[in-house]
Amino acid sequence: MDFIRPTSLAEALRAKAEVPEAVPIAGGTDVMVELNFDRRRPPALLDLNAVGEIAKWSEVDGRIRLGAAVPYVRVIDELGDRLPGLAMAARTVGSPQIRNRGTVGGNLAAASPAGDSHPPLLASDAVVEVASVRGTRTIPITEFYLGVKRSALEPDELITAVLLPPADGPQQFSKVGTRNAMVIAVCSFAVALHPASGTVGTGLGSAAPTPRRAPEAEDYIAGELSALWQSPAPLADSVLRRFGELVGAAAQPIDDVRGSAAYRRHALAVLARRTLGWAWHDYCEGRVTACA
Amino acid sequence: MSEQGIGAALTRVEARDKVTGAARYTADVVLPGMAYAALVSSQVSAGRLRSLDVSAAKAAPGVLGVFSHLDRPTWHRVPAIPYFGETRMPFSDDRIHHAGQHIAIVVASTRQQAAHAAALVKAEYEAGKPVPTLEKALPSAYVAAQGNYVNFPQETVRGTPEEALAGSPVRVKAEYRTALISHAPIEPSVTTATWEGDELTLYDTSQAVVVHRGLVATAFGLPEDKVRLVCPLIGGAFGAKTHVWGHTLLVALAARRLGRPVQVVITRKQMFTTTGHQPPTVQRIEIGAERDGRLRVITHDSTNSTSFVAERPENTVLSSVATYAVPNLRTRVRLARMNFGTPTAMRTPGDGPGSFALECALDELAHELGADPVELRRRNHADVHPQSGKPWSGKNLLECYRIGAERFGWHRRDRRPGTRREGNDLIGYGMATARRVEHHRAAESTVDIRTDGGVVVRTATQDIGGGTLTTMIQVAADALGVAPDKVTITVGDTDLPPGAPTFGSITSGSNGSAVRLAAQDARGAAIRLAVGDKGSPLHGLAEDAVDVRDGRLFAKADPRRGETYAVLLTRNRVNPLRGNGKYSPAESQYETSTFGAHFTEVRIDRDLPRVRVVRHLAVIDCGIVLNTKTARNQAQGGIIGSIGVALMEELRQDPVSGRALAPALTDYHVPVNADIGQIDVHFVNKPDHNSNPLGAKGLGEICSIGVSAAVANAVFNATGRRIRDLPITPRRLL
Ligand SMILES: Cc1cc2nc3c(=O)[nH]c(=O)nc-3n(C[C@H](O)[C@H](O)[C@H](O)COP(=O)(O)OP(=O)(O)OC[C@H]3O[C@@H](n4cnc5c(N)ncnc54)[C@H](O)[C@@H]3O)c2cc1C
Repeated sequence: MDFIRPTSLAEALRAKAEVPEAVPIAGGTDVMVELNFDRRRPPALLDLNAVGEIAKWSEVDGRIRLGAAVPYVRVIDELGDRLPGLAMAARTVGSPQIRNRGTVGGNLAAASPAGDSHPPLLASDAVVEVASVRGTRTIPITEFYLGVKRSALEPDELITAVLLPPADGPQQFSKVGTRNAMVIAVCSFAVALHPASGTVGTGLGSAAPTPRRAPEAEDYIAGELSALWQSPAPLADSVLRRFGELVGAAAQPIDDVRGSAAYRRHALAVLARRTLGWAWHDYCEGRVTACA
Repeated sequence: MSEQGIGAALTRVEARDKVTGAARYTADVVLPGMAYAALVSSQVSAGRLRSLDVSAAKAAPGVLGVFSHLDRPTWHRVPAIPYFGETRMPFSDDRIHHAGQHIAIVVASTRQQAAHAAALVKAEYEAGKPVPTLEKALPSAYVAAQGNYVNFPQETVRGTPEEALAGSPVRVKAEYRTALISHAPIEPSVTTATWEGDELTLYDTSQAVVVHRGLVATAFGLPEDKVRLVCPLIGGAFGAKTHVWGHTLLVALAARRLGRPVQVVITRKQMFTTTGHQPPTVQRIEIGAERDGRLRVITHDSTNSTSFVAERPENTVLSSVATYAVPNLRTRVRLARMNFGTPTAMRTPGDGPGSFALECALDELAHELGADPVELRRRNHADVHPQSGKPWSGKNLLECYRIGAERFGWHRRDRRPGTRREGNDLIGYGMATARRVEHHRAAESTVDIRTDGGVVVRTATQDIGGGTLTTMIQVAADALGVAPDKVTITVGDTDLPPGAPTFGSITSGSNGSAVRLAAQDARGAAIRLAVGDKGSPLHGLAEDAVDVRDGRLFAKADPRRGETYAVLLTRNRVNPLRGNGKYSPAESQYETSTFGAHFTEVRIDRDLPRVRVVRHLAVIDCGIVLNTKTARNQAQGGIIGSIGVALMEELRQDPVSGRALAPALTDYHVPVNADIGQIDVHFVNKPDHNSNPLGAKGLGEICSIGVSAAVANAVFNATGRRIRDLPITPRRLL
């Protein structure tokens, strides 16, 4: 197995173009497990750890540009105020060791339906920036996931960043696991309130072959909230429940060792109802995370 | 006798080495010229090998040898069960009894080459039709004949159980199930074998170097003194290393054939399939009682799975036989064979799953009667052993209940289930009794006092992570009258005096007694030396007029008169002064057990419904506590492990093949820190000198027994739902 260690993005892209089968390795927290279990024997590893361009974040044109190789620990420490949903999700990933190494870019490329970054990225309309020697393009998050562990990334492309707006309203993330840490989600849910546009974003994890949104739930709740953004008042329990039901209905979960489909659907509805309740409560209390 | 050492909250002596990485485990052993082995596993769970093509593996880079049943290994004899796991020797034929069974061993110059070549071994199978699960095996369940593992009564009758049931005004009857669970120690099993002529040395992750040496010797037809077993430190075992398993013998075999040292580190997956597990059980219990709660009768029927190469019943029913004063009783244990690896001792064999069934059934009875669960247990307290009628060597169970109920705030429990809430949480309290037979084993030790005042304890026991090194030092320090930091210890080597196994909660009592006897022997010899030595300030005194403290012998009547061990021995040129200790348990007029009571508070998210143990209190009666720090740590660990058993642990099987679905830590979950609430442990801490000279009894297992029942009972109290199948997952509570 070859080990390629580019020190710039241009070099990395050239390497990827030359050896498209080379497997990129960022934190390695997925790649090393696959190698260890012999699920994969790539001809080459393409180490991204010396590619400085993708290891930082910045604010560009009112959006956060989060480099693909920024580890979770930095998302938590540095972006908790601007990307609260993603930071909450990051806090639930693995253990400190995994959060020190693991990256959002790796999570995206792995495209596991259970990845914890996906729901908050979906809820806040993130855009994935990918590059190859052919150039750079952006993929809306909803078009990024194609199937179980399959994404819109081409063989010669690397993920360079995720672009997402800083929170313009309260965000929440919640995850059910079979234990409280070091656990793959049985299901997860993210919600983002967007008072500026009068919309609500959702993201469902471990709920279908790909991470997905719940458009009907989003439409429903946008309708219910339309009169309330200006004069916030508590939401009726029936509204929260209906929202939860619609989220549950959007799921197409499976039975596996971690949980049954029925349990997942049920739990998603509960998570949706609760997270929306918390987010709306924050909004009513004026605890809107200020946008930059 | 001085009080130095025993009970002190010393930090374990090897702690620093462990946290700095200096500690040397079995996989750290590297011998000159050592080769590495990888084991090839069967992919099917029943049938036979039609062919095994090892040519590609043999041709792979670095490969030194590939062995399988085709090489017809000549085992001398099958070692004695129980401490050899199976009736079939590895590679003895082409039969497949379970998925994961070793079918070949590949040896190469590096670990990676061995793993690579192992993947090149091509097996073709004539697949048989497996019995995949206990459920499918149940129709052919049978009562095993005595012998081998079957070393306790499979059926017990006391009084007239059927009549007593018929005449009981209150009856409860239920079926309980426990899951197939796995030890999951951090350190996998490791063996390094090296031969010099016909002398074999094994560095092996062994919970019993002395016992295992004999088994290995039998397998190879060697005299015991030609086999040496060494086990420096163990990174967790929980029973997975109580037995000799196939890999140990295979590595020794390969090393002999190749004429060089060979090491194998079992893969994580193989830990789940080839080093035992706790078998799933189905247990039916029926209780008949008077209206005032006095038990008239218990019947307890238990079936557990076993493999096709071992008959190993779980002694679940002992809980019903030995815990409460009940005049009528019938128990029966049956085995049901399935195509899975061989089950073995795990954490708390027998009483773990057994107490789950019995203590839940008692909770059901308490509910039926409208009685308080603690009160019900008090009322049925066994003042003498309910089966043998013998007195207990020491029993403070009533005190456990009293202290536990008080410290826990048991009176705040609402008898009506499902009534206490806080926000989304349902709150419930549950409790259970713990009881474990205290086992004894012969053990020997030496204690050397050196001219520099240092002390060395030598005994072939082993530390599996429970703090044995530290407690043995404390025992020696206490008996000698020296500070514990003057004492060092060497264990885990059959070249040392034969010590006790570290399983079955044997070590503290049995090995501790041997160390104490050795230290007393050394102390006595030193005193004799002093009083007979004209050069000693103690010359001429009666032996019992001398005491020792902080390494200094002195006249009791005049403490200023005295000298240190170091001065005494240096002057007399005795280095070292050796004391020998040989503990041999005698037939006793007593029944010896450990006891405890568990109290637990669960909170259950009403909607999700996930169970969290937010508070647990164990009150434990295990004789005198040798080290309050390591003991607390051990008890907390045992409780946490059992919370795992109650709430999450299950090695799920494919319903058709019986194979483990996810034999990896990714999905085999034990609790993590974030799952664990407050865990309090209180020790009754009264020496039981009827049990052994030291007065200390085992703690390793008693702390876990009853925990899963306490949790299940708390879940009932919180929700009104009686979950009789472990683990109690949200799916079951929904
Ligand atoms: C013990 C443990 C616990 C875990 N817990 C969680 C958890 O709670 N939640 C969760 O979501 N995940 C969890 N994971 C999975 C993993 O940590 C995450 O998916 C993480 O985000 C992966 O990031 P990484 O940088 O380590 O990726 P890597 O392992 O380096 O790569 C993952 C995949 O992405 C590809 N890749 C990486 N970077 C790029 C790039 N820039 N462009 C193109 N392809 C790229 C790699 O080729 C590979 O296919 C856990 C893993 C372990 C080992």
